Amino acid sequence: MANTKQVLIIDDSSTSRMIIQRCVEMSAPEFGSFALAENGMEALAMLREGVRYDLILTDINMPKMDGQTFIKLVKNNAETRSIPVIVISSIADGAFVEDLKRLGVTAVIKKPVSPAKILEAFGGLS
Amino acid sequence: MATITLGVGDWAVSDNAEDVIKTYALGSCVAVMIFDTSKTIAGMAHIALPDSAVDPGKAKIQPGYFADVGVAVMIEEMKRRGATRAHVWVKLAGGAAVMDPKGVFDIGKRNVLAIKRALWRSSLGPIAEDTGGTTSRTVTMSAADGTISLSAGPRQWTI
Amino acid sequence: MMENMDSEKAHTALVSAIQTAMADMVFIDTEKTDRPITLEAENRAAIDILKPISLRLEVSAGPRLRGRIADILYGEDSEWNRDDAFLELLNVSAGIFLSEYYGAGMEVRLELPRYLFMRDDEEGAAVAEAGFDAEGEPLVAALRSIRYLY
Repeated sequence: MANTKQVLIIDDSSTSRMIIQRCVEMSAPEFGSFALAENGMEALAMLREGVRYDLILTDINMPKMDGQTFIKLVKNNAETRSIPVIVISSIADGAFVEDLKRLGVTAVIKKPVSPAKILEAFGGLS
Repeated sequence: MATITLGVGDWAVSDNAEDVIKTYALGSCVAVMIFDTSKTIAGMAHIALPDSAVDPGKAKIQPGYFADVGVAVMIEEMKRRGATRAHVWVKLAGGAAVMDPKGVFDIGKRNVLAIKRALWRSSLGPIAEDTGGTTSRTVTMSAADGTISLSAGPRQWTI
Repeated sequence: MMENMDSEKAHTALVSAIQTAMADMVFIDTEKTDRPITLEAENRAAIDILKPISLRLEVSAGPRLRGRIADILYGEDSEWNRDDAFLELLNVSAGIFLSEYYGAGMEVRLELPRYLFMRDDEEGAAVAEAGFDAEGEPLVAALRSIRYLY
């Protein structure tokens, strides 16, 4: 679909992936194309396929490869470092948020996610 | 300019930019407001109870009284007039905690949650809400641009 | 470590976490109840808190409530939907509990949520426990001490 932005959603919970996608559809309809991954490793493989994503939404606590490791790899790669990353996690407090922002994360949403939280976090996207 | 005034259990949809939809003293009731930014269609429902199973007969005559049927009925009318999911937003107001004679549960909170369930079923969710507390809110919605004004006594604010 | 836990504060944070997660994630009004709760064919899920304290958060619910949760979120009930949705609810609850108990700024770590299929003989004492009425359906939550043997 022309002019539709592509989002990569990474979370080991299928329920969480579904909720995140629906909340984005409700409050940011310009993001109309979604790819889903269960962990950082799967997400890296999808990024290597060459699809150009406009946004990455990632959990932190995941098996095989956690969110922080994935974010470091994405931000250290010239081809992917400019993709905005927003973290959606059950843990999102204080120093942890600052650490993520230092890694280049645009915003951190504390679960449960909602259309209102998505709208607020997406406000920081250029 | 026409003011469409809603009572308890009423709902209205307007695609006339000169209209204003208003409802008074929500208390534990909840105003569900939906606005299509592309077609400028405004909808408001004054929901009183969460579940129509308590009075299916009333739900047939006045569906806006109940969250589980009122939300769906209003959405259907908005769709019929050309509203599309990609262009609407939803906001909520009301659901205050009031004295419940039976002291069983907080009906205001139940209304808010039942409305969110009904919205979720229709793949919708509020981007803003002014709910809970003990204030009985009066709400006005502009059909021109969806501006929502709230008031309680002398106090006025927007969401 | 357990001696440092304020059990009354933990109880308050536990109740708030469950109520908030149930309302904000699944839109179900969940009230604390002091009535004795009997769960039939319960499913018990647990998530271990690793930092700043070793603690296990357990949540148990019967099939009707788990089915309702799946039905609300997915629009249809299925075994997969029920299982995954309940674990995610537990994950969210744990995050809220930690914020409520420790406030912002504390470094916290969680394990992944999972189901428990039998009672562990070495299961720790309950630091806090609460029963809930989730719009007519029972739910139980508990915080237990745990020991890791490396």
